[in-house]
Amino acid sequence: MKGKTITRIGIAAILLGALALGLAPAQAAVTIDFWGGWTGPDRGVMENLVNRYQAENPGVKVNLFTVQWTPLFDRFLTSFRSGEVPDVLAMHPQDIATFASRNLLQPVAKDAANAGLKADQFAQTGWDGTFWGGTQYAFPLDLHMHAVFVNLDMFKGAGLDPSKLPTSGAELIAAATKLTIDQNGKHPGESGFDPTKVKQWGFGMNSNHHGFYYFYALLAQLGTSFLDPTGTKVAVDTAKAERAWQWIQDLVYKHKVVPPGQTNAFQDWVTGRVAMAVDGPWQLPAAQQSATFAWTTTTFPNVFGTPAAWGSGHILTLPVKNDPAKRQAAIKFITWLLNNSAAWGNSGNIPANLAARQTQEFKSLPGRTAFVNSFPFVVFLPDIPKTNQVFSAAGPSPIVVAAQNVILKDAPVSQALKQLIDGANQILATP
Amino acid sequence: MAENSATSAPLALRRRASSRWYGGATPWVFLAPFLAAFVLFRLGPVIGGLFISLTRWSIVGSPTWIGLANYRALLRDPLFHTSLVNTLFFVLLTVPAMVALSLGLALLVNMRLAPKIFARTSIFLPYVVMAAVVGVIWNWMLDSNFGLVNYALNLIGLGPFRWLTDFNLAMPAVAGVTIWWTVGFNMIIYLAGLQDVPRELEESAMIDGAGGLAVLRHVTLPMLAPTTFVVIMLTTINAGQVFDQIYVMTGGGPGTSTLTLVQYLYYQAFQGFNLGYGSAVAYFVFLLLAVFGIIQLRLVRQQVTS
Amino acid sequence: MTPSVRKRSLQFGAALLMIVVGIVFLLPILWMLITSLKPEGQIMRYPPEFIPRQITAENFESVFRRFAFGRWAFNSIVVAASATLLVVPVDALAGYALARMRFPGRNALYMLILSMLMVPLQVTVIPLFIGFTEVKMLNTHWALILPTVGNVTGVFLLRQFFASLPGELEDAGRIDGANQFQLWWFVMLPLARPVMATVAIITFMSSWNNFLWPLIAVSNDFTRTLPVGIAQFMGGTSGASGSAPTYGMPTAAAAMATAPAVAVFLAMQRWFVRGITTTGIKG
Repeated sequence: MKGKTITRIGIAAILLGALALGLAPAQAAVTIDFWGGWTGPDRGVMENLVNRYQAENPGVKVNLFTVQWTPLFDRFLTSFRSGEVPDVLAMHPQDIATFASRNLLQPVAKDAANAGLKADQFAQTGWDGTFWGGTQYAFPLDLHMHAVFVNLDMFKGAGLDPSKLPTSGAELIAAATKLTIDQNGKHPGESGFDPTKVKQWGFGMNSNHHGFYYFYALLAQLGTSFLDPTGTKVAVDTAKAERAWQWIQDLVYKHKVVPPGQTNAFQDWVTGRVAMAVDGPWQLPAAQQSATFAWTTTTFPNVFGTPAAWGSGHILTLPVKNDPAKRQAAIKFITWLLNNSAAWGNSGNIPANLAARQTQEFKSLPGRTAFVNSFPFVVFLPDIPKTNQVFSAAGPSPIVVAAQNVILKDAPVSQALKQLIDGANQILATP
Repeated sequence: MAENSATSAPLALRRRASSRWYGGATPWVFLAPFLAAFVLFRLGPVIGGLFISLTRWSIVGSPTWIGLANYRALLRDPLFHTSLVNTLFFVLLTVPAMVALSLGLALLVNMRLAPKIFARTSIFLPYVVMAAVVGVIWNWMLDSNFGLVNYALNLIGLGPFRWLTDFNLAMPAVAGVTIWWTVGFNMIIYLAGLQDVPRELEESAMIDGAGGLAVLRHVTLPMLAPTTFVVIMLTTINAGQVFDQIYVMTGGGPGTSTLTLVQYLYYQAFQGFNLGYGSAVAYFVFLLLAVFGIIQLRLVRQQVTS
Repeated sequence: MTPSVRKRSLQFGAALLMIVVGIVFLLPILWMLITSLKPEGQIMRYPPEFIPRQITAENFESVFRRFAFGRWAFNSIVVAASATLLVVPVDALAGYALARMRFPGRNALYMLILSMLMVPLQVTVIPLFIGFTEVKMLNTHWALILPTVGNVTGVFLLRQFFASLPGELEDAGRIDGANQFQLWWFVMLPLARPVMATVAIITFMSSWNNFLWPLIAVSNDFTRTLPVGIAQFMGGTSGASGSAPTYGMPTAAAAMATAPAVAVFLAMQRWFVRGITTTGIKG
């Protein structure tokens, strides 16, 4: 049994070594547990902010824990049984109802007032997004929404004017058609165009839950909303809804400007396979780092006359907890974060704090303009207790299935829509 | 009782062992450590999960008792039906291929040749990689437009294939990744079983004039029968509960084409905060696999007595 | 062709096949390694660059600098190794009893144990969580080690193995006056080395890659294990959470995280040796 003995010795050595080194970290005066769902380059930006805060406030330790939003929320729910509830939890405006309806979040209006945070310091959409049922449950950190990333080199190469970026649906299709080039130099609609031998595509879009978000924005552009005002059932105008889905589907199958079966629009764009791609500002750091061409951004297309783009934001909440000292420390940290959120702009997200957007630090970041310009027409998902189920980004949720049926499969739009409505209604109906 | 031949008989004639009868404490002393852990950390929680499946609960607050309502609702749930069919499809795609391939690989890497350790380790290495990382690598390699696999196929004039976004290709793609990821696991089970096939037996058969393939069929494979039983059982049980690679690669999509039973469980329980409903799916899985297990045991018993 | 030439060329062919198969299996992992050595900005490229334009250690360095990676690795090693050291003897004892001893209720017990393989583990996570909360053992290494000891696969493998051995092995020992434990230790276990090695490998890997339970059971870096630690910078599909995926750090972390597990596999390899065990038993 030599192998076992060696293993045993090895483990003992490791244990002893670790005992020497791995003693419990020195206790700070106050420790704040801060949870968020940032797992990309945005995490690094938040880490820098956290480290800066700790440097400026010795005696305070901020433990940042991140994991994707779904496991994060699972963990948040279980934490109430184990008593290890975080002090600050980030989420989105449409998540508030899920947790506030279960009485897991503390109202913060008084704290915001005491900390000197006022509505007029923040973008209105951002501030309004922190309320549910008339009570304020969160502090607004940022907003993010859809816009279009544009490869300027390809734009110029196709003979298009970079100072006239497409803003309407028709302009987008026209530009994308010129930007879709097959191996013989032909464009869609020209005779001899071969869609199986395209070397450069004009446009890219995602077929996951973001596919639904494009549809959602187009619904707003058409003047209809998905749910009824009580948020308990689907009340969308089916004719308009079909128009919205059809426009999206036509990009792939009729205008042939989007590669069929596309998995990852942004990565197709950044590797130079696709000239324009719709995505969110969280991709800006990757664009800055990886794009080997000149690029910029333009707003989500205004297809049906009234501009609208899907958006959301990050908000910071105080979970229900009985620890006044930590609570004060958490509020102090959040206030600092909001007032110093210009640096958060490096993550791509657009700070909700208006002053932060005026700083040189923020203004020097490339590509943010289109996003900032989108603020007036951002539409959020409805904030209902069942948002995470009806509008789930994962698995076989009705919105994902619908988007994939429409974009990946060229399914009849009325059928996909019916499935979507039935699926959503079913979830809304179960207790 | 099976007879036991004299000790000088070659091991090939050995029959199933007779076990002695033990009254009293001895068996329980041997079993105690495992049973303690088993009851506390496996059986107990499974019963707890069964209880949860009879309630409506979203992790916070107290569960509400609703009896068999979750099970009745599942039977009427089209997504559940889809997940059942998809799971069966996945099992069919992976189990036979996995069993055959792992046997073949085990035979290959058991030969006393120089690259044996390299081959064994390389084939097993994927099993060591975490699911999340498998997802990162393969999502990237299988991407329709910039993935390595399509790039390589393009060089020989094939494709592009929409591995993860075509409703018909997604499940085979996931099955392929699964085989890459876990065939090493089955291979080492076969390897362990192969150590029991005495070399003298194979060599004496070869001296007697039998060719390699005949030795395989008439000596090695029969002696591997118990191992094959284990591999089929475990592979099917694991395939029936496939989750990790589906979660990280397709999330059940496109559409619902890769939605499997446990994926649906996770979607309901952990993404929809519908713990009771999701748990009920698990016990359906159990029923399904139990039926399979009984069938396989009957088949094995038939084989032994024939 | 003389028999030895034929044998030689078959052996050469087999060796070549081994190498090719090995490389094919390794390719995705090699791709992962190569990616981890590229600067983040050069990873998303088309056509894919197998040979990096620039090699950097910054991803590895980032992982160590920004995160408690060493601590997580230590925790993972302690948990997986302890679980394995517990499981192998415990399962060998139980497997032997279930295979070689007849006692009332044996078959029913074995069926019960096996049936637990057929229940998806995800449903046990919340009950386990509640249990460990009650006894206030969350955030401990034991919370991560003990549930693995309830795993059934090892018992299944060992029981099947012991059941396939001939009865005369023990009879000879009994004639010499050995008791049951001595029979187990001196006669049975040496024969079971390959199977025990398999159980050790399987248990180690299962513990090493466990994610859902450690995610919920542990809430601080002090006890956190690698899969949960790494998940902090493992983005999902693009923009799924509004976070962009990065590739450099996850692949670097993954490369480092697989190393100890590979070491365990290599160490257990030596037990996949045949001939020693069976030829030693005579008379």
